[in-house]
Amino acid sequence: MFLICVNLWLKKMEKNNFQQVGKSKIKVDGQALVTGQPVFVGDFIIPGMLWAKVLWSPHSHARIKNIDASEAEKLPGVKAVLTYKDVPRIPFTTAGQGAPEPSPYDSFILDNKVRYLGDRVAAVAAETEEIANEALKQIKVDYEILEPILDPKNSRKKNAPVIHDEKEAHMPLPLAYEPKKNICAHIDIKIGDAEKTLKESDYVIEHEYDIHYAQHTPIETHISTAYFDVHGRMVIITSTQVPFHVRRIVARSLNIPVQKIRVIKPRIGGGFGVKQEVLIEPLVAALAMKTNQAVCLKYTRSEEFISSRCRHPQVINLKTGVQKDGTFSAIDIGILQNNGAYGSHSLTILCNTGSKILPLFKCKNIIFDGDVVYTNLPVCGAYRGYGATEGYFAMGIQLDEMAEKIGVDIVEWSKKIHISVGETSPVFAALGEGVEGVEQNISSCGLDKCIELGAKEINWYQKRRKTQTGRYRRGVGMVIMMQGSSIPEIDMGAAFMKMNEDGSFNLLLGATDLGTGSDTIMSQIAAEVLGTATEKMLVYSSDTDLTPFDVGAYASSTTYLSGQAVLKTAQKIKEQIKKVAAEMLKEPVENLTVHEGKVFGKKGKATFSEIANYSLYTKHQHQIMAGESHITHKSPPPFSAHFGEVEVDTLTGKVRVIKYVAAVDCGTAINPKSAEGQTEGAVINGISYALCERYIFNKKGKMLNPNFNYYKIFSTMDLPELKTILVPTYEPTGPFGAKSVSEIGINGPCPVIANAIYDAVGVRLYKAPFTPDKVLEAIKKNGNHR
Amino acid sequence: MSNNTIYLPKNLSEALKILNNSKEKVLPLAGGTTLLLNPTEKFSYIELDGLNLDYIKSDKNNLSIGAMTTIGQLAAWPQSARYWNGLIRECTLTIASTPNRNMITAGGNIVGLRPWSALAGVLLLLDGKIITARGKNYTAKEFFSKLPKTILGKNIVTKIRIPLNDKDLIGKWKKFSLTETDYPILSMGILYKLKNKNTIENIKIVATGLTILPQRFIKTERMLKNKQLTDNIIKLLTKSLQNEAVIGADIRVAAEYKREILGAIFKDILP
Amino acid sequence: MKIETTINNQKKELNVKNYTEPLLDVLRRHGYVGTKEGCRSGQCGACVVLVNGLPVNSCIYPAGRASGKKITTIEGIGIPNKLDKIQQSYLESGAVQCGYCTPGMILCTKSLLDKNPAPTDEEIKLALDGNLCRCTGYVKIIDAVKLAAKKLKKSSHR
Repeated sequence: MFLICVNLWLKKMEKNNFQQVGKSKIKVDGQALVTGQPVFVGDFIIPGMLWAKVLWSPHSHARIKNIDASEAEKLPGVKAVLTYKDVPRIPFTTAGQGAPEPSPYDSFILDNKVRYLGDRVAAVAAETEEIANEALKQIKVDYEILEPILDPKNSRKKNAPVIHDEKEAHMPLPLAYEPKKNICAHIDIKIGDAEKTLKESDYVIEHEYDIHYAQHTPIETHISTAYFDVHGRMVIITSTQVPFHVRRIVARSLNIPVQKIRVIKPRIGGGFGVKQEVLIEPLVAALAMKTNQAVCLKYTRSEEFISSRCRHPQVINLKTGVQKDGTFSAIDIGILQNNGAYGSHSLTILCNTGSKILPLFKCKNIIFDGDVVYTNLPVCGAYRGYGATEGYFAMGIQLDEMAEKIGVDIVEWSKKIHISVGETSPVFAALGEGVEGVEQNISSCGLDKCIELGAKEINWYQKRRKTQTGRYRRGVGMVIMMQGSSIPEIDMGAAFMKMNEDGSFNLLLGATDLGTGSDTIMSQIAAEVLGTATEKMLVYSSDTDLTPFDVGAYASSTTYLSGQAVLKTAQKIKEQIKKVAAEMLKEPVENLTVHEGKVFGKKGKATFSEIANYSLYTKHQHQIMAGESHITHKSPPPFSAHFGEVEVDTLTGKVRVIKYVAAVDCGTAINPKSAEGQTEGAVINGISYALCERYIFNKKGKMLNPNFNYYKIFSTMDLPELKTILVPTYEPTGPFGAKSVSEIGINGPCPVIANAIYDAVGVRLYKAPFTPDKVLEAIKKNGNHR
Repeated sequence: MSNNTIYLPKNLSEALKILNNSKEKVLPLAGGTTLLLNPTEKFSYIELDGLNLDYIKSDKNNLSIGAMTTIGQLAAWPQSARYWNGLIRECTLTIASTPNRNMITAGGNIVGLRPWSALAGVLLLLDGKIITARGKNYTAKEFFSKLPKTILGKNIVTKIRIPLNDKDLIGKWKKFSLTETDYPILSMGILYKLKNKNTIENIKIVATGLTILPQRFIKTERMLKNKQLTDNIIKLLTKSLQNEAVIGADIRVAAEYKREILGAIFKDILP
Repeated sequence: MKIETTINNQKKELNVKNYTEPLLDVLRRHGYVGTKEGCRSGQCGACVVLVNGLPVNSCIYPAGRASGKKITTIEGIGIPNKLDKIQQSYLESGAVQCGYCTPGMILCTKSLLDKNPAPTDEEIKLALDGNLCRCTGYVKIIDAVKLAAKKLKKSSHR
């Protein structure tokens, strides 16, 4: 197995002459990480810190009739036991989104009802974890067991038990919310006339697709520590993707002013969306306030599986029309989305299933309709791909079938049906993330090149539709995709810079590096603007006291949104530097150029260090500093084409991915190795999800495999040959032409593998994951084979 | 976290004495990988590390593997890739992962039958003998006829002895699982001798992962004796395997699926 | 109880709550926080340390057993501005994203290259088969090990 990266932008770079951007700079936090420095939440040990443990519900649906913590409180070493009686009854959403959040306010820090097996009942803070665990056993709970809903198809039935029957649950925005019917979100849009067009289409294909529960499995589980500083102000160090949302939501849930809270994100051990959630911070804060001591809550691995967040399972009914001449005529898509017991990210994921798929195609007749329902199952939240993963599973497979129906090669047909530069789609305006979307024209698209290079790399025409006999059969499949870059008109990021004596700069930004390398990329952007070295940047990020606001790391926005804030800030700094230099060199500003960490005039030059010293100490003393905010006005999609070759064992159903090619257009790759790394990580996660990750539930709604022993993710031994191809384009609205790259890669593997399986053994799978027993069952049912 | 009492005997006889005389429940501590997985269990342990039970010795007749030899040591031992056509190396590499193979012991693997206990299957194939501290020895067949812990009683396995007279026989081991380092959905092992290119003189067949105990397919073995491997024979033996197999519950796949694929896995390792 | 070990080539006395306390907790309590907790069941490799040169999952290793043994943690490999070649290779290859699996990966890499200075791709994958990573997809980690092997070979020829 080896990786080849085709660096086509070398030519582009020469043209643009970037010095810092477009280089695979070593991560600014790299040295700390490879030497095991204490930079994660668990490494901050505060003297006298207490350990928190949570009592989890053993029932899928129950009311707490009575809860008695008195015995637990008596245990030596126990400092606090909290039940619903001890916390404010203020509803909020745990979804880390901008306020007002488009997710229902249906969560409390602790409640008198439990809604899934693994829901929160009570919490203990004690001197050791052992004592805390002992205390949990002493809490006496009287449950009134209620009938659970364990299948989303039952949620909306008449007389179904109402999961959120509390009066406080509400939607903070005027959006559809019907908890009495167990519906936590709804969307329906119509564009053109799909009903009529379907009737007039030469071919109509309809299937139901079923995509499953999964967990992000960051190697570092959820962990938060709350303590009080010397002024008695609460500081929360937490493993989060959304520090500013944490501050706001903790303040709301405990009814304390935002001013009283500081949130710090240090290094975190992976997020992938599961930490775009204000999950445990309100509880940890409540325990800290009760005890007046530092408290740390660290999820065990099984708690991470059951009681954090998961990917949203969806049942998608997809009906598409296609003409003999290849026109993609109509789409009618109906979605039933399972949110689990609480509604975080319900509407936005549902919308994304449409908004990141439908605009890709030149199809103007669309019905998009979906309900998100509550069930008494583990709660779903943001997960890389964010609805697009589910959507491409359905659409990617259906496109393959449509191409077959009209007798064309899917690779050739894909080139004809996708949106291109200068074009728009009515879906952009109709579907955003929750509220209406934003109209936009495509201003950069390298998808054709992605398709061409990917097909070549996998050897598409030599491998496709090969007649085979024998036990092991091989096939190839592909899919085209788009995602987005940021949430336009809604999300905001800001940065601040100041200059030091030696020509170094402090760069303070709210943007959240969850291991993606955003601190490094921001440094590269700032350095490129200023004509200095990346190594001259001192980045500090994600501290609600010391860094300006940023919504956080989600919606593929860090490079495109926060990067532009950094770029604008650096530009302002550059102007100030030139102004000082002009005074020093006694030359007009127009004569000056800035590069190599110096300012050059027609008659003389000055180094950044000389300029900084002058500005701080010599004359007209002032601090060279600037801050800028940015919101985006469009969400330019990265585009990608994925190709995969599989081998199917027709006797066991085992599917092995032999080779996988991911060709992606992310505009300019600010840090190429970083962009490749994001793609590779997303792809392997996606393949693992397609083939072997799943939640196994028993009849009572208990998840039976909350551990790595039985929830399998890929190790080095499972790797296919993986090639990443970065196809450069230039997005004029992005910093140095950049778009996003971190999510799109995870959406490819499910449809690619399904299509490759069809190519290999002539069997279509509409339900994921493709475990060997399911594949074998399908092979036997469908007789086999082309 | 466990608060178990740990005994540190200086030698084997002291260990046995502790095992016999202790009033509480005492277990020998081998690799320890499962100990810390269940920290609330209220056992006491006798540390076997440091009793010189980790060695691999072979003379003309026998291979002796000390009970505290790790699976990693076994996999790295040069002859494991040679004897029985590399059966031992092939099998040991299907157990767990590199760091865990450095802790899991040969003895632990066969006494505490866990999903990853492939060595038990290999011992059935190779007619291994299990030697204990009390002097009572067991054939592999005896040892795996019931849960080994119940057969062993208050005793300690000190070594495994495998006869080397047939080390030129061809052995093969195959694990079928969801991912490469996963516990087996099922594993199969064979040890055979060919009469000529396509005819089996005799063969032994074993499977692990179907139930807790490893299984040997004696009826199917007899069926194959002196038979040529035609398509028809392979069809018949698949049926025979499926009939002979005892299959227990597994949350990952239905028993019918395991039964269905027995023949397929077997085909993978046939000559 | 107290046990005598050698950690990163220095004699060290460890305070252990009892013989079967996980080595992970003992090490972290004594300041070796580069060793990470990921699953507490020996499945993810984030807690890997070397005991007598061989990688083990410290979350399931009874600390008492470390008595008299040589332990290597990530702190013993290199420090900022004094990185060893394996650490340097990981950085140059882009093999570090969130960094949480990295100490375990680097220690397994060291154990491999100490014994096998020119490993094949298959041997590299086998050596790292117990280290889970969710960020990188492993591709650049394998690149890093190959680069480290090259760097180590170069320096041994001087």
